[in-house]
Amino acid sequence: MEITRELLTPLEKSGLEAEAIGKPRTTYWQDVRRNFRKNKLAMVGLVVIILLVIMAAIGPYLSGHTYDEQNYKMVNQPPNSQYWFGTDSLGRDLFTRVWYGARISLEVGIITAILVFIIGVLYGGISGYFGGIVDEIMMRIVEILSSIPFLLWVILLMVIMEPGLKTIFIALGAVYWLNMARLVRGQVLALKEQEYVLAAKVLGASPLRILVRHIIPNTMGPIIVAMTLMIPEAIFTEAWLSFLGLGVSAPMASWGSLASDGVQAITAYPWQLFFPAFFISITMLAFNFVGDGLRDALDPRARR
Amino acid sequence: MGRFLLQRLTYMLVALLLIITFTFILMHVVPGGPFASEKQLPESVMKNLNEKFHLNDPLWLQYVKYLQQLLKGDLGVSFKYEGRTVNDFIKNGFPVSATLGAVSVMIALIFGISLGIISALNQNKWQDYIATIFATIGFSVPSFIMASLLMYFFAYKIKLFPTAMWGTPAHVVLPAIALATLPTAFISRIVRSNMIEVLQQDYIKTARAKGMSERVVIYKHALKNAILPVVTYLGPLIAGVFTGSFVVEKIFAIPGIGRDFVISIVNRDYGLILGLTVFYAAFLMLMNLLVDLSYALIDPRIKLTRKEG
Repeated sequence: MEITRELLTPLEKSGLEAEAIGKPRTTYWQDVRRNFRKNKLAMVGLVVIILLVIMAAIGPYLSGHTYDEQNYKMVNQPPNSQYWFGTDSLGRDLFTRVWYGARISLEVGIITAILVFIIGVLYGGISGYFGGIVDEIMMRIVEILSSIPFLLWVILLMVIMEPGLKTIFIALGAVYWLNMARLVRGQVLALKEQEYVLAAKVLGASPLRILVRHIIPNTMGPIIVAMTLMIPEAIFTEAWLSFLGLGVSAPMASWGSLASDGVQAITAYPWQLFFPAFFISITMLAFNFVGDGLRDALDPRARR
Repeated sequence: MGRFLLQRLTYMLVALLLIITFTFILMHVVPGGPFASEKQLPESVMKNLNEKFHLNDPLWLQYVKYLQQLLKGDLGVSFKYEGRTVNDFIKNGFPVSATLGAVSVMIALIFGISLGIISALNQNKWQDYIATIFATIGFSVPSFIMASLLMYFFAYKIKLFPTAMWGTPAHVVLPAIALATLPTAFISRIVRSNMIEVLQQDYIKTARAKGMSERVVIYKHALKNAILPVVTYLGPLIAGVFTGSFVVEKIFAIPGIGRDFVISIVNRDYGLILGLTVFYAAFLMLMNLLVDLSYALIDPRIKLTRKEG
């Protein structure tokens, strides 16, 4: 029988689709998004974070008082219609200061996380990718550094450098990158033996390009989780440092320094501690929920 | 075993040397630091300083002398309180801090493990939810806020415990609880998830099949394996409790070295800061080493020669 062109016409598309079993194909990130949305706690956390960020942006302008405006006639006022969160011992509006502090605290959290990301990914990436003696030396350094109690490191760094926001970023970044470097190295070690990396190598890609374009993007899952959990940790540590008198200095305010001031006055004016403490705790919770939600969403095999 | 010990010990010594070198450099480069040359000091003070710290020697010789002095166990002197050495501070303050730390660790272990077991045995029931809520609060409230709140409610409002100072067992309660909150939460989560996992393993089924009572199965067979990971957490736990006590000792005005350390930071008393830092570093690293060793002894599955990162 002669095979004519007519015999080779494709089937009607619609018929094929009717036979298909299963749902539309989703990409990895679409899956992640959907799993994340199903997690109620994580979504609540996300909404809280968005609200906090919005309030940090507009909050300081809402009450009509600036963060450093002092009013000696209105010292230590309880919350009222003019001062929604009350005033502090210098008559400054706590509502404005709390949201101004939110800016600083969130900034500390986010910038530290970014710094840690950059240092950790580069260091861990290089160590894991090149392996051998390079890896050996780089990881020994990490191990030695991480055997020093990290809060002592932070305190020492804060003591030598001039006080200020920049110092806080540097001190926290200088300490927290260790864990990130370990995490990234582990991921890179696992990925670098894969065929697609070999393919890139054969095509003549430089090690840096392979690392940045091919390996790192595939390690993003655990890294994002670590970064999300890094943010509350940094806010926590900043609060702790502020309490020791090593954080931001007045009239600037972070939640830590506000809470620290509040602690001094707790018996007489408890609201001065209540508001910053409440928002620190809410932020911790929200970021931890989102971090856990991301971890579950990014790893389909993760146990619930 | 020997190799493992040697490796850990080497790391520890290198890390310690690093901290010491760092603190030494610190003394000499900090603007406005104790030995900054631009500062105008009276002739006699300068002379005393020079004599005490050999400032006229070349830098490397000063460093060697500093090391020798540390090797002899002399951690230096306070720059603020004349005539008081760092060793004096430690002798007075360390027993206090150690007592507080030990009580906190005990509280964290007892409550953390109990909560974890209760949670695991009543998975997704109300007991589990209450334990989860407690752990969540523990995770999200910083220790200094917890300390202040405890003081406000239990010492100021209902006067159950003293607000501050040190001396009787009642003085230990509130600060120890404040310090133990976070680790308790953490331990309860570790024990919960491990207990759930362990209870599904075959040897537990075997034990049950052999007709052992539920009590024996849980407390004799399952618990042992479920709390093993807690031992690895002991190192960070001890470090956390001791560094956490900086703020808690400050709030409750407890005369421990944590408070001394905070005061030395406020005063920029470099001599005391550096001495106490070296002491803390050495102490906490030693603790870590002991924890590592005990872990290796407790769990025969751990390979001693090489520790995977």
